[in-house]
Formats: sequence, C-alpha cells, structure tokens
Amino acid sequence: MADQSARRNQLRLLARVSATHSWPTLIIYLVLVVMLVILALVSPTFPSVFSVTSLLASALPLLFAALAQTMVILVRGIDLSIGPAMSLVMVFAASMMQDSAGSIILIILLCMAVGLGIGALNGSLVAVARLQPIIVTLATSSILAGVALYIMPQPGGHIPSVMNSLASGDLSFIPIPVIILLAVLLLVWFPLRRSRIGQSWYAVGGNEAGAFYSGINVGLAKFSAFLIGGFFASLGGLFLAFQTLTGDPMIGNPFTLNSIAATVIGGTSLAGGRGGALGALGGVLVLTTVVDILFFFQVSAYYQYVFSGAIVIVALAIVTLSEYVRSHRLRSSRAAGAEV
Amino acid sequence: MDNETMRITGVGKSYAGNPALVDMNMVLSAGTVHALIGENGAGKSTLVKIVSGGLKSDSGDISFEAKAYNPHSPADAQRLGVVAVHQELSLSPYLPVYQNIWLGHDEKRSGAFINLGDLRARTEKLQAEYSTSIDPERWVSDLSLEEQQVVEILKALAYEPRVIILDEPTSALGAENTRWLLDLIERLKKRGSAILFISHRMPEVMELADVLTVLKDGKKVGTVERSKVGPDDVVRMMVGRDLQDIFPEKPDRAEIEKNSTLLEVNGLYAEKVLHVDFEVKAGEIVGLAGLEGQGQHELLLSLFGMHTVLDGEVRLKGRKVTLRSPTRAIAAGVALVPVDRRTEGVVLPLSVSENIALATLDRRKNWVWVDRQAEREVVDDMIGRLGVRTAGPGAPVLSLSGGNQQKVALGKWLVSDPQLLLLDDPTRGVDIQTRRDIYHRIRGLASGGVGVLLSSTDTIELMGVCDRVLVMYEGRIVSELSGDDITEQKIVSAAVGLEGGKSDGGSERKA
Repeated sequence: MADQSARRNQLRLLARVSATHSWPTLIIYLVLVVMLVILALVSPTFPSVFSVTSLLASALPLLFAALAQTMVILVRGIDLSIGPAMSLVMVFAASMMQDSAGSIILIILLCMAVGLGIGALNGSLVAVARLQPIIVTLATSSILAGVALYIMPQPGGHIPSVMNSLASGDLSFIPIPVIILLAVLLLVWFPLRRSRIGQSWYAVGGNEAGAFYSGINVGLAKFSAFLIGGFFASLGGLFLAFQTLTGDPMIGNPFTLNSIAATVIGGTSLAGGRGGALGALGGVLVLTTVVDILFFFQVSAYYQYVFSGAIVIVALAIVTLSEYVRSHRLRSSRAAGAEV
Repeated sequence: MDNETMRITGVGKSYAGNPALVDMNMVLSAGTVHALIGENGAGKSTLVKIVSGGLKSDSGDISFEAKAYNPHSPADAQRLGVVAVHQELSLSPYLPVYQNIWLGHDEKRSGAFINLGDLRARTEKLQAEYSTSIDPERWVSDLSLEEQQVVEILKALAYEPRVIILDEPTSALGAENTRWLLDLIERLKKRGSAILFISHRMPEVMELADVLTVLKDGKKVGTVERSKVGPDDVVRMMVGRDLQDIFPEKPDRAEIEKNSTLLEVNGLYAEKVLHVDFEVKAGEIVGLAGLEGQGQHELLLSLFGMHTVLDGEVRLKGRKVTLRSPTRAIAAGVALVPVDRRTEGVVLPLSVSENIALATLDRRKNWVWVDRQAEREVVDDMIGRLGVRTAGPGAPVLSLSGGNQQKVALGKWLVSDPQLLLLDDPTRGVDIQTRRDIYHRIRGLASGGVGVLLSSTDTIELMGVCDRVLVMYEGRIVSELSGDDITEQKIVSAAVGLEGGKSDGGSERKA
C-alpha cells in the first residue's frame, strides 16, 4: 500500500516536473550525472568524501556569482559587473584583514557592505534612472576593475589561513562547503520562491507592464534583484579570498561570463521570469566538473577558456533542441491521441 | 441617480501635445452598468488608465465615495476598491494561476513571505464563489487566451471592487464564458458595485448597460439612458451611420459557384485538426466558426506552414503543395493575418511604412538595396486604400490605435497580392468604423478573385461577411452553411456540438 502510494507520488512529481517547464533544469542534472561518471572514470580519487567536498569548495565562488546573476536575469536584467565586483571585494579583504577574530568579522561585514553598495548603485541606475542594465553594468564593471587595481596593483595581501580551513573544509570531518551549500539553498531558494520580493521578480520578468498594473512595485523588484545580487557577488569575492589566501585584482574577470553561462545552461531564461537557484547550482556544478575533467586529461589552462565557451553554446543548443522536440512530440501525440 | 460612487469632472489628458481626452465628465453609480463606447482611439483606454491609477490626468478632478480620488499607482486604486480588467492581459506567464490571482494583492499589509497554502485556499473559495474551475497550479503561459481572460477577471474580483472596469472583457471569450461574465455582472450589480463596461459588441452593450456614454475623438458625444435608445441610435452617435452599412453586399451565390476552385483540403490532420475536408473557390469568403479552441486557429496555421501537416493533402489551384514553412506558403500565394497583432502582426517600434513593406521587400529589391521610391508608392497607396489613420508613413506603429494597427497588419499582406488570404479573428477588439473598412477591403479582394478563409468568434460578423461558413467542433468540420442558411441559431447550435452528431461533449471519442 505504502509502496503503491509512494510510486503514485513519484509519478505525480514526474508529471509535475515535465508540465511545469522544469525541463531544462532537469537536463542539466542529467548532464551533471554523466560528467560525474566520467570524472569517476578518469580520476583516481574522485568518488571519496574528500574529493566531493573539494569539488563543492572549488564551485562555491562561481555558485555565488551564478545566484547573483540568476536574480538579475529573472527581472530581465544582466549584470556584467559581477566578476570585477568579486575582484574588488577580494583585494579589499586581502589588504585589510588582520589575524584577530574581531578584524576578520569586521572586514567580512565591510565586504558585504561593499557588495550591497555595488548592487545598490547598479540597481538604482537601472530601476530609478531607467538605464539599460547591459550598459550600466558594463560601465560599473570598468569602474570596479579600476578601483580594484588601485587598491592592489599586484596580486598580494594577506588572509588569515584559518579562513582557508574554514571555507574549504579541511577542518576535521565536517564538510563545510556542503553545509554552506545547503544553507545557501535554504536561504536563497526558499525565500526566492516564497517571498513577496522573489515573486515580484518572476512577475516583473514575465510581464513587466502586467506586474505594474497588478500593483507590483516594478522599480523595487529590479532594485532588490541587483541589490541582493551585489551581496552574493561579495560572498563570491570573499570565498575567492579564503581559498587563495591572497588578493588578485584580475581573478574575478572570468566569473562574469561563467556566471551567465551557469545561469543559462541551468535553464534560466534570458528573457526573464523563468528559472531559479536549482538551475544555477546545476549549471555551476557542470562547469566545475568539466574543468576538473579537463585537468585530468592534462588540457592546458588556456584551452579551458575555449572549452567553457564551447560548453555554453552546446548546452544552449541542447536546451533549445529538447524544448523543440518536447513541444513537437506533445503536439503530434495530442493530435494522434485524439484521433484514436 | 443619487447612489453616486464616482464622479469624474473635467478630466483631460494629452500625449506630447495631442489631446487624447478632453474635458471628460461622467458619473458612475452603485449597482449600475455604465457602458463606455466609441471607436478605437476615442479616448476610452486613456480614461480607463486614469481611473485605475495607471496614468495621471493633466486636469480635472475625480471623487470616489464623496472623497477626492488621486491614485498614485494601480496598487493605490486597487486598495481603495477601484479595479480594472485590462484589455492587454496583466498576468505573469511563468507563475501559476493562484499566485497570479493574488499577485500584488495585499502588498502593504502582510509580511515578507507568501503563504502559498492560504493563497490556494483563497483561490479555491474564489473559484467556488464564481463557479469557475481552472486548475490553480497551471502556469498562465499554458492556458488558452480565453482561460487567461477568465483568470484576469477572477483576479479583479478578488479585490471585491467597489468600481470595476471591464475593458473589452468578452473579446477573448467564447459564448459560454461570455454568458458566465454577463451573469457575473448582474451579481456585481446586486451587490452594489459600479461597473464601467467597454465593448464593441453592440448586442452585449444593449443587454447589459443601464447608462451609455459615447466618446469620439477624445470628447464625450453624450450620455444616454439605455431604456431611451435603441442600438441604431447608439451606432449613429458613434459613427453617424446605420449598422447595415458596415457589411458589404454579398455577390450572387450562383456566380461564385461558377468560379474555379482555389483551395482544396483533403483529410488534413494537424495539431488539434482531425480530418478536415473542404474547398474554397476563387472570389469566395469562407468563414470558420466555432467556440474558442476547436481547431480553427491551428487549421489556419497549418495552411500557412507554421504547424506541421501530419497527414492529408492541400491543393492550390489544383496543384498539390507542401507548406512546410511560412516562406513557402507566401511563395505559393498564401497570406496570414495572425490573431495577435501586437506580437505576430506588426513590428511595433517600426514605422507604418516599414511594416507595410516588410513582407514584400524582395519585390522592390535593386541588387541588395531596396528601391525606396517604389516602396514609398506602394506604402502611400496602401495607407490610402485602407484609410490608416496615422501621423504619417514614418510614424511608429506603436503610436497607432489598435484598429489602425490591425489595418497595417492587413495592409502588409495585401501588398503581396495573395491568392489565398487567411484571417485569424481580424476584428478582435477593433472598433466599428475600422471593421467596416476591413470588411469592405476583404470583399473587394474577393471580387478580384482572391479566396478568403476568415476565422472569427463573432457570429454577426460571419453572417454579415461570409458566402459560406464552416463550423468546427473538436477539430472537425461539423456543419457547412451557405446563403440563407447562415443564421446565428444554426452557427451557434453547431458550434456547441448540437448538430452533426457530436453532442457527447467529452474529450474521449472512438473512431
């Protein structure tokens, strides 16, 4: 009995997933499984607690960047300043942080404030001054990159090494990246879907004029997406700093493209209103796993850029194609089904 | 009337110096349906936007329940109890029905989180109260236009409005849901709501309205009580012309029978189209009737190469054709004026001239450049022939009223000299004057030998324009009517499945 009802629930879930357009997100997780199998075949250490933890740890900065990008893309925006914002936060932390606990906490809070400030700047230019997000964030990315280079022209600085143990999970048995990951999903995914702000992102991204006539504060929806996005970019910058224990004014740059890539291949629509954090997570894990696999095949780091670009194109093609096949098959089966 | 709910005094609005509404005066009373009528561009939408808080007026005052009324946003107006059901739907496509209904509802009152369980329960209660049954979990993007319109109406009802504005609410509704809406309006009246009702369908207006206000060119022509006027009086107020005039004269049936066959469709299967056979003669206007979503739309799309033909055969002038894409269909002499003019019919930011020229650019190609002189002539000719009201050929289509946008969508295809013209509900939400122009244009084309297939949800239109009417029901043609047989009674009874042995009404059927 219990078995049967469990099975019925499973079927219902499956029907729900295919009916509610979670299709692209589902695909990215299928791709992820394939990638993990390949990784297990080529890596001598892979399916172990340590290797999983370190895979997640290396994925964390990109995950934060992708979550930031997802929010902004949900409201039909795009944030090209995420990478430089991460660099700026990183060099700020590396040049200020002392070894005392008080300093560590203070600087972390200041870094978050910097992220919120960047988000507020982008957000008000887009939502209040009504400028195009692509131009606004391209301009702020240039400003942020300049400030980061001013603070720290050369890679350097200092981060207390305890932060590395904390952030990458070397500390005893506790898989800290896993805990952070779950915390982020519970702190982002749940509020995103359930809060008025999150709902307004979906509403504005799906139909801006309609949302306005429904009484949604469109400006606030856009502003908050950029604001919270800026906050997540600062978390991404902090984790970059914790992992490397230094500051580097250029290290954030590739995160802009990669955050867009992870968001899009995870099924979030650039047209706004569709997608979410689970897709972003899937996209980030796939991109990170691919880099690991390439590493085991001893592919030069330079080619990894080529591969990430190619993966985005291939993934987009797969998503588009599968949507087409799905709708086509639905159509044909509907026509055929009704005919019998 | 003494039970005044809202008083509009001297309200005016201009866009960039062009007056859209001039010195508007109007009183909405509790328990009264006040119909607002006028051609497109008469100022109705502007008034609706001002009253519902989407737009600020330049001058004048509005009082609501004896207090000054100055909403800063739609949210403001809704909180006070003034709610509009807009013609352009305000739903968010990727949120489920129940979230859409309560979207922005008590934005100020509750906390940061949405209680989804509560919204579901409230949606269930709302649907029970107004006897609708749309699956609350479905995404709006998966609903038909008709279902979306019902959700839009439910969303307005959720505010328990004191003033409810219905802007063309029936243009997307089939017969059954129109009935539902009309009953609903009766209930709202009894409850004491003031209703501002906008519609182009005269029978509805005459059935529902207690008071009518007619607008023309942004000015009020007059306000009359329904009991003191007939439909003809109202139409005369609107256009200064009688209703019969809007339909062109039909040619002799025997004349058309003599013409050669233009389109032959045999055993066509496509999405939602299940074995359809029919033909269209050159010079004939054939109507496609039926309730919303019975396959009319899909049939047109498959004839235009946009939906895959799964089985069956299409012949144009006796030659078998495979219409695999719109490009091929256009090359074969087929043109489609699509149902959603704003997304499929015209390119809104482009000019009238660019839109009209768009489908036929190749014809005026001079190596790789377009011959601007030739284009200018074609465009001017078309603007003149259709009577498009525009500031000039360079004005963006965006700036035109809905009816004139539709003329541009039609004009674009008329330039291509099609042999077969497919029209998908071409007069949805279009005013009488423009309808008249479009009907005469269509008949003019048919007289020149073009075959026309016209899908419409407006029975009067099908009766007035078509030489023959095919009624579709669940993907099949269940009835064919011609000449004097084209009556409202016959079309409607076939459309609801009463004729042609298709009265089971269920979705399961056996071959």
